[in-house]
Amino acid sequence: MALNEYGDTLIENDGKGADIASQRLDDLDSRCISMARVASIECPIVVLDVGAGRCAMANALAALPSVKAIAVDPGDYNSFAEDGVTYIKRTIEQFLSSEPVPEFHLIYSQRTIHYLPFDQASAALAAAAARIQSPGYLFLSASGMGTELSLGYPAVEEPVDRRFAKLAPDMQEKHGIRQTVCLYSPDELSSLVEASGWVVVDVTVSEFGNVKLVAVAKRHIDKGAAQ
Amino acid sequence: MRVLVIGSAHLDIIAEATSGAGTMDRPGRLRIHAGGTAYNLAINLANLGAKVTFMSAFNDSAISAMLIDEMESQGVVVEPVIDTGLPDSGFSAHIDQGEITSAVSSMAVERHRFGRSDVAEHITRHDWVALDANLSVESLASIIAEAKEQGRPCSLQLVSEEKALKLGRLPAPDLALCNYREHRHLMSSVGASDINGLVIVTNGPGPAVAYRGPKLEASSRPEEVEGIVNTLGAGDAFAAGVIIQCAKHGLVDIDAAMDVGHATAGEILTRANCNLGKHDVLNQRMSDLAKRANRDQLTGALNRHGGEGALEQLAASGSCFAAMMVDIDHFKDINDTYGHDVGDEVIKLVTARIRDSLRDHDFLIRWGGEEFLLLIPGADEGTAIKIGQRVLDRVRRHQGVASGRATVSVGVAMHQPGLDGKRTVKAADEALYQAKRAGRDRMVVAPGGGLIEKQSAVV
Repeated sequence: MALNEYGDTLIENDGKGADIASQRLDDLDSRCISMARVASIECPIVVLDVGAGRCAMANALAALPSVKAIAVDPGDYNSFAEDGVTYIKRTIEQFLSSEPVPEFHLIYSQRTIHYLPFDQASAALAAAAARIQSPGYLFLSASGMGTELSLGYPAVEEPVDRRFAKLAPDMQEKHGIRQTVCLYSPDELSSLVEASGWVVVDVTVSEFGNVKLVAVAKRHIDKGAAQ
Repeated sequence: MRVLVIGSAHLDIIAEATSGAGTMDRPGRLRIHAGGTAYNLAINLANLGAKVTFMSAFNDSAISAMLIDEMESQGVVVEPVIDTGLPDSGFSAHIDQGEITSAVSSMAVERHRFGRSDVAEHITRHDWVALDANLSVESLASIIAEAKEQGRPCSLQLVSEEKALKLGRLPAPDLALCNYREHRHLMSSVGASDINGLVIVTNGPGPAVAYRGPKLEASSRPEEVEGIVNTLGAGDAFAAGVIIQCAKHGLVDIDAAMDVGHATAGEILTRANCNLGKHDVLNQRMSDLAKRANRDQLTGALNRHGGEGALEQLAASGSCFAAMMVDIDHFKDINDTYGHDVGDEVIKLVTARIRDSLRDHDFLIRWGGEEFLLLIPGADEGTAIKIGQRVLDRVRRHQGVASGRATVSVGVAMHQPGLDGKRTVKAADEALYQAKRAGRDRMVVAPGGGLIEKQSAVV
């Protein structure tokens, strides 16, 4: 059965919803691929795919000339990684606190950040902003408060920094999202990202209601001005 | 240790099915590599420290030139025979669960006849002659005969089941190497005692055995390897290990030679590569060619074609960026007064000053003769103005070789997500025009959104 108007089906992902990336490219995927193409013109780059699942996006990125990918996910998806993809079986917090953190130039993370409580998401974004190399772009999406996921969501009235709960049982069943989540409005996700060392350059909302965002690490903008 | 390798270098086209068993058109992975038994052997031997000369026959295609160039870049001396009448060389295999299920090969080297006089001088200068069975029976017979006459040890890799049968029609080489399938096929037409030299048969994960005539001389079991990612090329790596050991110590301690072979094969099994050389050479070569096509030869900056591609991708990424048009002031006068050579020098020096002003992932594009487009990803207007000012200052500080001080004019426009990148560049061009009209050696920033209405700022 299709989950939505895109025709996605429920290929489950450790209770983290459908693996959409393995079924189709969406607009944020295309934008990230375009940025990877252009950023790798002058020198090779590494894209960090956070919550990579079956590595569909990491594999697509690593197929580009002069692009490699690091796929970070706590699940057992190592066997899906193809040439040019380094699979690291860790959470994003574990990855960013490892020493040394491998170099990366772009971050792609779709449908993952909502599995972290707000303060952990903020810490991870700040750590990522501090470590990302130039050109320092972030392509991020989160499940939206404006989606049907918020129907019966017990934390719907909570402020975003305290919002963290499981979806209503019927939504868990339908979407395979069984873990605790923090749903975001576009303004909330933008504010979180801006407060964590990034400058948001574009925010959109998908037809389903999820929030998609592109940001640049603020220190790279400042660095360009200060050099 | 000097080894003469003669055989095939070609493209390996490997299709590996990942699902859809029982159907004809199956999803899977496709890999295209530079390869071939003798190619892999030569690269492996060079990586193991041998001085390697590689002989083969090629047609005059770009692919042949690329294969030769690639081998030479990895330290192998190539002695090619170029024959325009030869076909392209390639090996196309289907793999299912790690095993080749079918393969088709076309080998130019098999169509060329190497006579004794073609190889005699080369054999003299080497300690070991390594052949693969992609050579014709006539070529193999001539080369083996010449090696024997010169007292040089000679090995032969049997390559495939069909080509393994050639061994039964040849004067015996000192050493023949094959896998168990090739050996089984060979034994369907000759008996073990019909082959005079030493034969080593690998058996995948099982032990390799060595026999001479009816007598078993040695057997060796490989160490267990964890994290196997590739089995292609393992046989060639095993052969390289055996040959390098035998070339150093003679065909005496075969157990030790096979142990070295297994250790070398073990390295291949954990790589996504069919030999010990550089990974993914074909893709890298193609990528280099594509990059060269997008570069301006004089300055090394992106050319207009490459720049238009970068602009299109940057706009498609939904990013904000600054577009900065930079033009050398009074460049026509420089050219007319000092000549084009000095003009070219000025362009190169200005390019260097601009490049110094940019960050790693900013784009410097030679947009026209003395006109440059800079694309600054992620920049806000403040950053763009500071970078533009830096360009003005650094070019101003430069003293030209013969032409005196050069200056530039700069036009800046900011791109917002969703807009057409070409429109932003047009706005930067309009701002540049305003800077020229205002007296040159200055920067003009277009109003927000990249839409030019009037000059908004002169910095």
